[in-house]
Amino acid sequence: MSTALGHALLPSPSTPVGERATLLALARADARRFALHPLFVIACVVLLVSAVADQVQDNDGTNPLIPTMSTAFLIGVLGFVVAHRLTTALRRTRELAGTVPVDQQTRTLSLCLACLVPFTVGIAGAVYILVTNAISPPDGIPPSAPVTWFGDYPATDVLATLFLMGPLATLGGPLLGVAVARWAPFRGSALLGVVVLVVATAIPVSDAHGSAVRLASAWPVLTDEHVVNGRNLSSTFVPEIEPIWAMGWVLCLCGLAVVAALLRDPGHRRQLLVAGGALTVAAATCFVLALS
Amino acid sequence: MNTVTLTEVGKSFGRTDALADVSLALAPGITGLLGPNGAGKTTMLRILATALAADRGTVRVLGADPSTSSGRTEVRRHLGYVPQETGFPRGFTTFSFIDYMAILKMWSDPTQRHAEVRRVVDLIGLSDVAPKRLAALSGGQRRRVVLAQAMLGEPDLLVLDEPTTGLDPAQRGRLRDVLGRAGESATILISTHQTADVAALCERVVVLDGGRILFDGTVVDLVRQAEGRVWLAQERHPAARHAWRTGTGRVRNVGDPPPGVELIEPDLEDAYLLLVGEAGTDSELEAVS
Repeated sequence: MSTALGHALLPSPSTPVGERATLLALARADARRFALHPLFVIACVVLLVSAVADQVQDNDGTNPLIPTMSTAFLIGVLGFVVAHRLTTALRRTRELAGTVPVDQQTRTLSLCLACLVPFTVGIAGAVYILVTNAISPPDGIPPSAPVTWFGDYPATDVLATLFLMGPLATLGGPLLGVAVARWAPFRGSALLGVVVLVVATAIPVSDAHGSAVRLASAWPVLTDEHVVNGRNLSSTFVPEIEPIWAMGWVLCLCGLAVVAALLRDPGHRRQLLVAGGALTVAAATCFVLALS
Repeated sequence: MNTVTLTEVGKSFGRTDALADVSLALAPGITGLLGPNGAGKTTMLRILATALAADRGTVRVLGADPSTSSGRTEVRRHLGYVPQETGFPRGFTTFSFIDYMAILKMWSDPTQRHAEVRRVVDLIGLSDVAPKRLAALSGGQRRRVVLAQAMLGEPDLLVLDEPTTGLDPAQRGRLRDVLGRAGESATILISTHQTADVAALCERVVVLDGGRILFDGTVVDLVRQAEGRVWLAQERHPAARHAWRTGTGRVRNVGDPPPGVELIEPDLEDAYLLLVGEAGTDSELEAVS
């Protein structure tokens, strides 16, 4: 047939090719789809605009971790929707997509790797916060009041909290989106997931709940504001939660989301169950240590 | 040498036997699959394309057993498939969709993959709509996109379920040319309601009805069965099984002719109508008796 059609000889797909190479090619394509998804582009633009506006406006700046909220919402929550959409997109083409040599588990793993795109934005946001606060360090009111930043707290606590509330939220949201889409691919599950995410974030941060509930929140907030007469005087870390272990807890949850997404399909079940078990133990350990 | 072998393959949906212990062997070349709606054509094609598992019997495709995971993967590496109906994901252009399908067919090297995608896009005549979003394409263009992805990597087995649906005559002509060339080395099974496509492309034809094979042979042999059973007249004859007024104003009658009528050369459609009609009558007689 090659000769008949007179085109350059190309390797037939029957030629054994590395599964890793295929996974990487697919992950690159999925990452491009993620990066170019209109919802993600809008989220990035809004984030950029809010970052610029933040610099232009004169604010108290007593809590330098506040900008992680917009990162977590715009990239984390909207990233959840984007990841869900990308995962369910090929359902329309399932008759075709179900007859290709690359199996569904590889496609799911590829989508999980594509979640590194929003994570990169989260990292960039964290770097932006570090740089802008290095240039203009935050002060409490009066200046001697503690703020959740270097100098008033250990560097590891500051970095762990920044990483947890920013980049990890931008990774965890999309990974959860992939997992939900694999297990509940029905129409409306993305919207339902967003509602659950927002509620699971909003309820536990109220003061009425203990630190365990706060840590178990979808987006654990490890800082408290001290507001007097509507003015933010200072911000401190929640004393009952150890940031470094809290970061470990959320990191393990991200890993569990990947395992949960992959377990939807047959294949590598034993390895996945072992990994899931190990991550569950690690998550529980981090949770306990974060509260001790 | 046979590349596809079905041995007493059966598939049921509830109480309905979509395929009733069908045996069939295919070699490289183009085989047409004809049959009325609900005959089991799509079920057979889906089994060959590994989209559906058979309930009974043995299937061998290109030496692999699709009932096993490794066998399915092996078949899929050599398969080009056009399903009867398919949707399209949002956000893809023609090129990016075929490129994505190429990755799913394990074309991991971007340079070779893009060259292959460009080849099939040119082959199927989609170059002018390659940068267009799929949502902006017409039904016929979308059908050709599905055909283009099936041609990726010059597969050894092409399973095409009504590939010409929605194509205009020029596009159908182009597709016949493409498939004719592909059929020189690949095994191609085409299910269609267009007997003209089968007559134009296929040497062999299989007619399915009620999940069973009614006919398996050459197109010439099937057409020969209708010789002496097609005639032109001014009116529809009561003995005709099928009759329709043609563009000349005369009625083409297909059935058992009365003496003295003007017999004409039958075509594949006449033969198919007679075969399926007689099978239906036989079934009805069996049911009555």
